[in-house]
Amino acid sequence: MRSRGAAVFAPLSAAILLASLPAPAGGAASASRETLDKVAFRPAGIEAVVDRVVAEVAAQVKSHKTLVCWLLDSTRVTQQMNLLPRLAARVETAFAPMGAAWKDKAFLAVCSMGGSQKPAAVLSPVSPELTPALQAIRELGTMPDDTYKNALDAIRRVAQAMTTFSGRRILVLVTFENGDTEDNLEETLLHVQKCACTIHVVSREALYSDPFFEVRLGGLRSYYASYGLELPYELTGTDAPTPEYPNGWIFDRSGIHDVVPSGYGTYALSRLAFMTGGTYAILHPEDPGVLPFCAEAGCAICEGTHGGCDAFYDPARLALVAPSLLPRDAYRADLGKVALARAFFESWQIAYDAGLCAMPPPWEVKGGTLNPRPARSTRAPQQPRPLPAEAPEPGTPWTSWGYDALTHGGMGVPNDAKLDEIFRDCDKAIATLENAVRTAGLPKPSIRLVAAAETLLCQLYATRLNLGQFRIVRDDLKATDHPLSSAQTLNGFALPALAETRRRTAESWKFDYRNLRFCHGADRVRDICLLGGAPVRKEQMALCERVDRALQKYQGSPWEILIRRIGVVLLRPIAVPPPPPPDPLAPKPDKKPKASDPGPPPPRPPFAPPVRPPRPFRGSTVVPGGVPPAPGADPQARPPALTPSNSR
Amino acid sequence: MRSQRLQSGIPVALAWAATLLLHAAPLLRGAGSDELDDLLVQLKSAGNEKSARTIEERIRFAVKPGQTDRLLTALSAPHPRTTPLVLDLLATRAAGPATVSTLRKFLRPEPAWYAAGVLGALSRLGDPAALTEMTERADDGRLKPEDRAEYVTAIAILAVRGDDELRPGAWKVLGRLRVKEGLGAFLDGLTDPLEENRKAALSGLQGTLGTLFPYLRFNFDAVNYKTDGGDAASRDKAAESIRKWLPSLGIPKDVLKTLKVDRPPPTTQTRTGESSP
Repeated sequence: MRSRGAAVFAPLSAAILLASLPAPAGGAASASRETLDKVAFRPAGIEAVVDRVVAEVAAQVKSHKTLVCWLLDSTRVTQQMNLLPRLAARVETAFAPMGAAWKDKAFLAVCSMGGSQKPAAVLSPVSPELTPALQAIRELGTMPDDTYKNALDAIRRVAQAMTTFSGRRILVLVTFENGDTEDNLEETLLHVQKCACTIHVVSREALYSDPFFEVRLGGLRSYYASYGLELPYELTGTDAPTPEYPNGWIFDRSGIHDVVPSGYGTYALSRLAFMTGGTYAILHPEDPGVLPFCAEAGCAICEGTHGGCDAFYDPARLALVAPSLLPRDAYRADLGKVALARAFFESWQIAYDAGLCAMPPPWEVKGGTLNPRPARSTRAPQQPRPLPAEAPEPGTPWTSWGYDALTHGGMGVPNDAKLDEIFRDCDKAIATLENAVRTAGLPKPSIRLVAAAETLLCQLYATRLNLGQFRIVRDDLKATDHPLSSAQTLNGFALPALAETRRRTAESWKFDYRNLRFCHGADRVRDICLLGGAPVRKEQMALCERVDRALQKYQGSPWEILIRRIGVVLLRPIAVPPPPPPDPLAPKPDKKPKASDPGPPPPRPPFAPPVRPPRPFRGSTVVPGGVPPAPGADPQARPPALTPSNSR
Repeated sequence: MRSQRLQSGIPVALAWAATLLLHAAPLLRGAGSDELDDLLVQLKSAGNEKSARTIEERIRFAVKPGQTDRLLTALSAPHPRTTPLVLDLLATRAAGPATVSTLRKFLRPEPAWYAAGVLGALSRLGDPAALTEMTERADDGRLKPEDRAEYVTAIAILAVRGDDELRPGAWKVLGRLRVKEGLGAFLDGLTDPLEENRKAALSGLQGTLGTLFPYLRFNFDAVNYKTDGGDAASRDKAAESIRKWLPSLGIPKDVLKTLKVDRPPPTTQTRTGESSP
C-alpha cells in the first residue's frame, strides 16, 4: 500500500526554487549555547543513530503516522566505511515492526543529496514497506559521487516534498564530506520549521575556526559559480557562527589549526538540528592514513615521530565552551557589546594588515560595534604556504636536510624599515589584546572568547620571537666571522652552523624554516637554544611560561590543542647563486611568433564537475579529564574545573 | 704451661670463629631480612650523598640472587631513596619471567618516580610492554616535565644497564625522544663495549644535541671519537671531554651524570635458573 504523499513525493525533481522561499526570520530564532551539548552526541556507529531514530519513531507511532526520510550522501569515504550497507542492515532489523506493530503507522523514504549537476532526488518514495528503502540505500552505496553537493538546498527540497505526507516528519541527513556547505541558512531553517520537519544530522566533527575554504582554497564561492551552475553557497564548516581565530601565520610551516577538532558539529547543521528538535551525531570516518600533527607538520623537536598529538577533550569543559547557535547577526550584535571581543578583532585586523596572518577577521570594528566587512577578501599568506612535506628520517640532523625537502621558503629578506614596521605592528596587536584581557570590563566575556584571546596572545608572542629570530639570522649573514677559542668549541667539536652559509656568495637568500611545536609541552621548547643570547632567552622563557600556564588552564579543550600547534621557528638560509654570465657562443633562442599571427586557439578542456578534495583529519576523543587514559591511571582524576571565575 | 695456655686459648679462638661466622654468614648466603631492613632504614636517614653511597654499596654487596621476596617486601613502603635501589637490585638479581607478574602488581601510576622505576625494572626483567608504556609517558606533553624526566631516566637506565638484547630498543626510543635527560646515557653509550650500542648512542647524541642546539654543528672527529675504530681509552677520553664541556652550553650537570653502576651484579647464579626461596 502506498501513502497518499508518495505520488506527490516522487516527482521531486521539479525544482523548488529558492525565490519561492519566504524571507529570513532574522533574529527570531535563537538558541542557547548552554544546551548545545545536549544536541550533539557521539554515537558508537551509524547503528546507534538508527537506534535513536527508532526510539523516537516508537514514541511517535502510538499517536501519529510517522515518516522517516533518509537523505544520504554517497562518496568514496562512505563507501570505504561501508556506511550505507551497514545503515541498511540496521534499518532492516530496527524497522522490522513496520511489518506488524507499526503497520501503516511508520513510513520510510530515501533521497540522495544529488551532485554538482543534479539536485537532490528521490530514490525510494514514501512507502510502508521496508524493502524499497533498503534496496535504495544499498544501491546508492555502490554509486559514490565526490563532487560538491549543496546540503541545505537538498534539505529544503526534501522538506518541501515531505509536506505531502500528513503526520510526523523526521528527516535524517547523513553526510560527511558536504556537511560544511551552507546556503541561506536562516531561510532554510524557516522553511524547515514551516514544513514541520525534525532534522537529525549525522555528520563530521567541525574544525575549530575552520580556515580551509578561506585560506587553503581561496574561497570556493566563485569556484562553483564559474561553471555556470546556479547553486551558489558558502563553504564554512566551522562550529561557531563565524571563524574565531586567524590562520596562516608567518614563519609557520602549517596552518596551525587546520587540524584542531572543535568537539562539535558544523554550525549550520547544528542550528538546523537544534531548532527543529533534532540531534547532531558526530561521526567521523576513521582514517588510519592520516598522520599525527607532528608528522604532518614536520616538527623539529621530534622529526615527526611524536605519537601523542591527538585531541582528548573533557566533556565537562566542552559543555562550558559550546559554540553559539544564535543567528549570525544576533551573535555579532551581542559580541560587539563585549569590549574584549572588539579588542580581539581589532588585534586580528592589525596582525592581518601587517602580513602576520593570512586570514582576515570576519568583521571589522567600527564605533564600538562589529560590522560586516564590506567585501570579504582572502589573500595568500605573505609567503607561500608549504605543501605537507614528508618528515625526514628520524635522526636526520638539521644541517643535512636535502634540498628536495624544501618545498617552501621564497621569502625575500625585507629591508630594515619594513621589518621594523612589522615588529611595531606585532607589538601593537599584542598591546591591544593584552590590555583588553587584563581589563575585560562588562558585559563579561565568555570563556570561549577569553580562551581565544589568550591563545592569540600566545601566538602573537611566538610570532614576535620568530620575527626576532629572522632578524638575527638575516643580520648574521652580513656579519663577519668571530674566531672562537678552542675551549669554546672543544677543539672544533661544536661550530656555528651559520658560519659556513655566510661565506657563500649569493645573489639573494631564501629561508628554509621548521617549527619547534608546543605539542610536546612548553618545557621542550624551553630547552632549545635559539640565536640571540640573553635577551632572546628571556623572551623565550616568558613565552614558554605563558604557554605553560595556558596549556594547564585549557587542558581538555580545543584551545589546548590550538596552543600546542603554535611553533617557534628555526631558520636556515639558503644561498641563491647568481645567474651564470651569458655564453656569447650559445645559439640565440628562436624569435617569438608575431602577435598578428596568434595561430589557432588551444581547445577548451571539456567541462568536468569539480571534485571535492578530500579533507581527512583526526577527530577528537572525549574522555573525562581530557587526558588520554594511561594504563593503571585513576579515571576519577580530573583537572581543575574551568569556570568563569578562573577563566581569566 | 704451654698446653695450659693452649687449652685456655681454644675457647677464645672458637668464640672468635663463631663471631666471624655469625657476621660473615649473611654475606655468604645473602643478607638476612633484618639486616636488609636495617640497611634500608640507614639509607633512608643517610645524612649526605657520600654516606648514602656507602650504604648503597653495602646493600648491593649483601643482596644475592634468590632474595626476590625480600626485595619485593621492601617495595611495600616506597621511598625515593630506597625504592630505586631496590628496583635496580630486583632487575639484576630476580628471576625475570617469574618476577614480572608479581612486580606488575606493585605498579601504581603515582608518584611518577615510583611508576617509572617499576616500569624500568619490569622492562629490564623482560616485560616488552613496559618499554612501550614508558615511551608513551616520556613522550606525553600533558605530563609534568619532572614526571616525564623520570620515565626518560628509566629508559636511559635500561639502555645503559639492561641486558644486551633489551638495550637496542631502549637506545632507539631514547634517540627518538631527543631530550636532555638522555645525554648522560648517550655519553655512557659512547664507551660501550659493543659497537652496535656505541653507534646507537652516537646517533642519539647527535640527534639530541642537534635538537637542543639547532644553530650548532657537532663534529665528533674533532674529539677523535670513532665508533668502529680506535681503542677504548680514546673513546673514554672523548666521552669524558664532552661530558665536562657540555655544561658550558648551559646543560645542567645533573643530566650528564653517568648511569653506570661501578660494581657489576654478582653472577653466581643464572637469573633464569633461580628458584624463589
